[in-house]
Amino acid sequence: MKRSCKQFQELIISLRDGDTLSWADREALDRHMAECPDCREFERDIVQVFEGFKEETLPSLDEEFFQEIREDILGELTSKPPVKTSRCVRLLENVLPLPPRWCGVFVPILSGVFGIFLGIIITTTWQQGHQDVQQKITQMQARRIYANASPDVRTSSDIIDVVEDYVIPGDLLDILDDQEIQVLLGELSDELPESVWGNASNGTG
Amino acid sequence: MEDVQETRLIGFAKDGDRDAIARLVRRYEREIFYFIYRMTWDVEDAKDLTQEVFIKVFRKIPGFRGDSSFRTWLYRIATNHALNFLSRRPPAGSDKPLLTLSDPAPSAPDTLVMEERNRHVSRAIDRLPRRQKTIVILRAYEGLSYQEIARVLGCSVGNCKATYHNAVIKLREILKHEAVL
Repeated sequence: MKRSCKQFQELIISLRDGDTLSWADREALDRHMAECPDCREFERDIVQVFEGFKEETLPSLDEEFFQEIREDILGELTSKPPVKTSRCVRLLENVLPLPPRWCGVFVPILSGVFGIFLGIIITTTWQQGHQDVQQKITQMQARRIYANASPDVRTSSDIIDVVEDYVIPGDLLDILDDQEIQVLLGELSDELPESVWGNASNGTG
Repeated sequence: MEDVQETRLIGFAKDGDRDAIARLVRRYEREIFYFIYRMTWDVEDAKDLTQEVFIKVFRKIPGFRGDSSFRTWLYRIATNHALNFLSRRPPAGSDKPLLTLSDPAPSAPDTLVMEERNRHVSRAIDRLPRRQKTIVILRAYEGLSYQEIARVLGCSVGNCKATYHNAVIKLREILKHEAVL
């Protein structure tokens, strides 16, 4: 397949840039150059351009100039020491295939999520515990009320009156409504010996 | 390839060791300064930018993982910093003098001819689109491989090579237009 001048010019640049051409490419280029004046001119120009790269003149700067740069850099770094990456971030950097910047973001995000999760667990446990304690308190109080009640008032409705009379207002009554007290007494009836409850039920006169 | 001593210096620099930082700066200061100078063509700008680049590098060094060589990483930061600077700076006229410090001592006639050609080439490079200009400087003057340039600029090797070839063709056109070639 016949190649275009553009393709040969690509090869000329590659060659000048230090690439090694294959034997076939080199052969084809030599044949083309022998018969193409445009590409010969292109090669001459490209040689000039690459020579221009080599012959660069730069301002000559003495050691003092660079020492000044160095001192300024060190002075700035000493006045504000580098922000040290935390051990957590370093660990994540080694474990996760992520850029360091992302690891720096991951740590606060993970910490936040963990904190919220921990908060939910603590709140739930505390609420459950609080409910258990409240239930135990009301059961104990109900038992005490029941024990203190005289046999003739040991009925459900009377017990409510006793609760109102004996229990310090703001304690049990603030916690339970009438229906809850009924439920509580129902539970209490399961726990107490039937004889006692039966006596209490039958005690009204 | 990074030598063992440089790896150790980087390790100490990560812990904020002043001496290690100074030695790394000394090792690369000229290279980075002249690279930035070629990008900006202004000694004072190049000086300020070199300082800023190294300060940035040593502030970021705890996050350097060694995926690429320290030199490539340094060039990446320097390139981005210089390009940011150039994007903020108003474009200079094409007749801007390329040397702002005192010129070197008088040269022989042959050398003067070569220097003249060099100035034309340098000025032509300065007129290239920024991406082409950066790749030409990194390749032709800094001697970075295409793989390194690809890492510095975050592009493919093929793309870097194609851009470099196009830049060389464009340089030829500019120099022909100015009757230098």
